[in-house]
Amino acid sequence: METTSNTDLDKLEELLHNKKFDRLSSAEKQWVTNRFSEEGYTSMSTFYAQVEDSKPGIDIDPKEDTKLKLNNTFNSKFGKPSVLKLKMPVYQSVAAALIFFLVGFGINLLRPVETKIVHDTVQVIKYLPNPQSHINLAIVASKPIKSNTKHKKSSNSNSVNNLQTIKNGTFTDTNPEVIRQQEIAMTNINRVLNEKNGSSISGDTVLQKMLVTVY
Amino acid sequence: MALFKKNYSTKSDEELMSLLTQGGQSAFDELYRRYSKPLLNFFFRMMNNDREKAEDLLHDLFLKIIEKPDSFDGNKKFNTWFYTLASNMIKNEYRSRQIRSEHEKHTLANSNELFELNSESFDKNLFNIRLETELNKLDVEMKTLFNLRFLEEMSIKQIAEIMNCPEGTVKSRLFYMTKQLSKKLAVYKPELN
Repeated sequence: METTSNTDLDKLEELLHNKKFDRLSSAEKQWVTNRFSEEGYTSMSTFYAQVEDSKPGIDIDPKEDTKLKLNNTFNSKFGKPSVLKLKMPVYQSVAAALIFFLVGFGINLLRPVETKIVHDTVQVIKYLPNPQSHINLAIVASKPIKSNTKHKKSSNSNSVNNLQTIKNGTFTDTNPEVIRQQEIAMTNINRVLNEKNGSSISGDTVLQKMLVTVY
Repeated sequence: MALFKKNYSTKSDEELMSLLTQGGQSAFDELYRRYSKPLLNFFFRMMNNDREKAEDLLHDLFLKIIEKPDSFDGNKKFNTWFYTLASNMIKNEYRSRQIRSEHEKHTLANSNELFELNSESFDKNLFNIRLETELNKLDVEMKTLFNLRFLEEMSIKQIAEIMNCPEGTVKSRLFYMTKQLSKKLAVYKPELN
């Protein structure tokens, strides 16, 4: 009665796994006996059970050495893992750059704009359009200078007097009086600038000459 | 750092293979974690409990996916493809070596150890040895079929893909083989005597 044809293995295996022959229904017995004898069914059922039971008998773990060897091979082929070697689509790089830009822009917008007030004075030098032969002096009241007060005071009073006396004088290089007047004028200019701005034109020879010429 | 770490354990085998082709060490580690043990045991059984040979085959199998990861067809199931590679390696090994003669020596050694076992495990071990002996009388195709079905618990469809034959052929071979084996091994089940 046994057949070796292509049996409905799924159904047979289900019965073999779950039911002994005497537990089969009459329909199942009929189905089985068309293919096996009772003894054949029982021996197959036992075989399935024994194979199932013997499975855990063999269970070994791989040696660590095997994995280490494979890791070495892997690293020699692909290289050590590195951030720079990660393959990344172009759109991801562009998106990342865009995000960084927008975040940076947003931070700039959120930050209050500081208005810096600079307290500073600008020295405006007014150049005369034409050379003048006559000078109208505006005498600035000077602050007392601490050091060399006596000398300065006397020189100041002298220079003012001298300037007043040469008010209408003529500028010539040979006139010793005019040379004297130039020196006095230079002293006065320096003094006035020092008092106003704390700056000095002693180092600027061009400006000095220009101012003296104006005088 | 954990924020950026991918959870590879939730990825499918096929996704891991795709990452491996890009040089993903973690993907390789995860595949090794999933398959090294079952495949080592598969090789171990197929190589007549030769541990060293099984380790060598396992190494060579994973070496294949490192060296030629592109050979995996992404449309197929990784599990099936991987066992196909393993089965082919076993076939080659059987061709190149005199497995059967080695097995006889090995079985004899196991039989000697058997006498040291207690009575509870005696029947079980006797059955295993006899089963191994009977399996080794089969050709490598049938032995592979047995291992894939009963020990790896694969479906008929998967086995058909691995062995590159129709499902009907697998079923009829399996039926024929189990019937023959159950007859031969029935003597080792006391209640059947």
